[in-house]
Amino acid sequence: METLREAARRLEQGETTSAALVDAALSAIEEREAELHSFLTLLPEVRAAAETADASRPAEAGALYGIPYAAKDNLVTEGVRTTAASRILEGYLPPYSATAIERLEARGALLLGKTNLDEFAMGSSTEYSAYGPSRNPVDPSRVPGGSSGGSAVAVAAGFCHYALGSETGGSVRQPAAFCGCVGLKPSYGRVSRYGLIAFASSLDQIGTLTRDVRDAGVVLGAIAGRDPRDQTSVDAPVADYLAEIERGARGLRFGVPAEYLAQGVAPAVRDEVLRAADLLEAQGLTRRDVSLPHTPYALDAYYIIAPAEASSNLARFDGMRYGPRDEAQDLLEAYRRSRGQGFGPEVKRRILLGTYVLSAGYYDTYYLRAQKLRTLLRAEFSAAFDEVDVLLTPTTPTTAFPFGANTDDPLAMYMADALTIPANLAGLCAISVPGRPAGGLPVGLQLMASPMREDILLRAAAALEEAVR
Amino acid sequence: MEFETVIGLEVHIELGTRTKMFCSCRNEFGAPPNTHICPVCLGLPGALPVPNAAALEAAIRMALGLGCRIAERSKFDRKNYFYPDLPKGYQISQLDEPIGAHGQVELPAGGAVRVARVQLEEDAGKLQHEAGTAVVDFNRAGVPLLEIVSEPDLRSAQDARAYWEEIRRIALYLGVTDARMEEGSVRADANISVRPVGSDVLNPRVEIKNMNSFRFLERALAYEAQRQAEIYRQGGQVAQETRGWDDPRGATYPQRSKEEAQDYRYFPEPDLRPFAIDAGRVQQLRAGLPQLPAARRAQLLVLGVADEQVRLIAESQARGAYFDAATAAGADPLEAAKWITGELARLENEGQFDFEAPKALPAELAQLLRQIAEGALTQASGKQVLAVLAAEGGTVLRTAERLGLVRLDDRDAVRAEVQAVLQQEQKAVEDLRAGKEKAMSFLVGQVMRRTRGRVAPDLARTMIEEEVGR
Repeated sequence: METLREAARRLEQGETTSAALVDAALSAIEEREAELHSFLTLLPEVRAAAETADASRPAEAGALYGIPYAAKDNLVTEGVRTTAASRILEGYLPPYSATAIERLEARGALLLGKTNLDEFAMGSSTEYSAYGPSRNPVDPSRVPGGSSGGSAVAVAAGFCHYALGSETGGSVRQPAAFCGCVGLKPSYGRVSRYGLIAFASSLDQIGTLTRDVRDAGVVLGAIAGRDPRDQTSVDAPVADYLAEIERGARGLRFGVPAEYLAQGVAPAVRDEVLRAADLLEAQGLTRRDVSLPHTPYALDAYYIIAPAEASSNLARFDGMRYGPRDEAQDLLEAYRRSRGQGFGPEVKRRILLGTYVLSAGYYDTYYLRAQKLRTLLRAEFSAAFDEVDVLLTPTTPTTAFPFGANTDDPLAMYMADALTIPANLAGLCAISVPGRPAGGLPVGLQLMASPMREDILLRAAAALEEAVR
Repeated sequence: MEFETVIGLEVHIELGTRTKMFCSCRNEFGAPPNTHICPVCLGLPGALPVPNAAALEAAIRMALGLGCRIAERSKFDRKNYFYPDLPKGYQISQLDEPIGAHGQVELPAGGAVRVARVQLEEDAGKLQHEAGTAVVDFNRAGVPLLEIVSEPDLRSAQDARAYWEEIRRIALYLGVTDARMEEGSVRADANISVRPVGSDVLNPRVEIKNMNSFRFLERALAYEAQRQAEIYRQGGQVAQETRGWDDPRGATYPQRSKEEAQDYRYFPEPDLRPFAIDAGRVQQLRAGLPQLPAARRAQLLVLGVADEQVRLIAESQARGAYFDAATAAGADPLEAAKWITGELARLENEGQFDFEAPKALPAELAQLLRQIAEGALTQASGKQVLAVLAAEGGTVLRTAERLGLVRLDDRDAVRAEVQAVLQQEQKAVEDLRAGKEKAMSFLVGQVMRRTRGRVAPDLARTMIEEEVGR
């Protein structure tokens, strides 16, 4: 499938127009969207916007100008319905756009639509969307992964060249792995969270879904950088990632931590990671041994910290200022109705969990200990990155699972994120690159690098992409 | 059994910054409802807070003014609870690393109260009940708020009031707030318990929340101290609870029991990084602090100014500054204190003078006092001149001349005025001859009236006696 860069080149050379790109997207959507359900909202005005873009195309248009993209529906868009796949935001029209959306718009990118997700990004399959699940374009009987499932489907099915997603524990990398595209989670603080509907503030980060590693570099370059509206965004220089990638990866050191190949990882997935390791060595990268013994505890810490923050972040959805509100006799009933009817079961489960772990007498036992574990994990990664530049692991323990396989077993569902969560807890940058499919289903290879070292990560990822192809 | 009262106060002060605590909306009271709002202070999905540096500085200055140690490292925390006026479902506040701690406030009547902590947080919106429904104005949501928590050092309702007033005074001296009580920009919660005198047990305490009047606070605490003592005298047990104050009834009433108390589920605010407070900047701010009320009072007491006048001058920074300027211009400190707390304070109360922007300049007060001391103006004329200066400005000399208030020193002229009065007031003259001393005061008064105060009362008295021939 055509990359973003190829589309930009064709536009640049007058071989195509924005209107033609949009038409192609719309006819692809026409063909398969009813089956795949990747979008919650499509913007009909994008066709007119494309014509305007063609008419007023500047000389130095840039790599994103006039090319349609999709954004996960937990990124607020001014005047465009934004639901976070929840009933509680039904009919909500944001009065402002997320910084990442603004930055793409400033470069002339065309928003095609808002993509499906698990409600408030809580899930790994889009099965928790209040508006119905998306389907995996490789095998529609299977989930596309989540929570940024709609974005991964849109990119993998050829609806758009790239899409924005968001991560809290793997929500970009995991669906990328399931659908066979590239999913980049930038370091915490690399991309402004302003306008990203918060799930767990200390973990959330906007990421990209693209058709190859270089495209991820292009999109990241456009959305990265300090934003005065997000105090947790980091003022670190944003590299020219394409130029970095062209430097090649020869001489970079990598490690394959055994903890990421342990229990629960499907043999086919493990084999593909080991094959990839050999191929990287053949590409001139140096392999070193690394160990990350605290890895098994990451999931536990995550399922304390993320629900704790979520229970607080989702308190604002009270039906008072926006969202549906029923008649009620008193205040308590008003809250019960709005939140009782507005939130789905998984969101409620996490709010309950989070409320519990923060409550008086339990804070030290749960939240504080989880934070200590998080500090340990960070230190462990930091030590590992003294030895190697990147870590190679599977993105997910298995390939895409069938619908309903995990919906009755929350713990099994949570396991789908076991290998991606550590990067979120430690604020690392990480990427999932498609490996060789297993049993006809995509396999994701994960690379992780130190915080703010997307340059190194993308160099290694491009080498990996080339090696496994 | 004798009981003593143990009170701790949490005082909330809205900071008078230009913008709100975590967004750039204007911080302004009295604007039409919901006109100073944005995604951040409305808690819209996706919005994030950005701390207001000016509010942080104001908080540090206030903490310094309260004698606090300033934290080297601080952070914000979330206090979670549901209420329609709280847009995010949590208040950004500070739990265990407040801006300032370990301060102390001296009360005007003596004694000191320890300040446990000074923390920075955001105000909520304002919920108003209207005809069976409720509406919220979010203009106030996100206004920077300082919470100043005392140790339980207060031993009476009067002390609690005096402490609160002193906190407000310090904030006004520092200019960190306009502290308008009627706008609710200064509020207080009180914790009160009683125990037998001499005991150091800590009995269950009652919290009285959201007081916005000094008088209500004093009355509520006085009532509550009595109520609790009475319960113990009867052998009962005071319940730990939150009570409200019903001013018309003059009684507190139960609002929320201990069992219904909220669990605020505090945790560090993940949207804001912990921050360091630069010690050098704190030094600069400390050096830039103005003289505070306690120091002002000490200065005046050393000069021998009477207690009541000390209190009145220290009431506002402007009065103190006026006093300084007048004495610098040569005014006698005791006379200046007398006139500032007498005539000028009276004129200010009547809305005819403003110490903040005085039309009667301090140097003119000094001149006025000099004229009186030298006998060029009588006290009575001085008051008239001052009233005109307060209203219009100008100089003492020109005003006195224009009003014809320069003292009558010509003895013949004074005698003529006295004779004219005696001519008219035959009855009083007879009374005086009959030994009624009241008649003398009356006649002196008539002379003053006839001359509009331009005659020194002693001179008038002497001449009346000479004329009547006593």
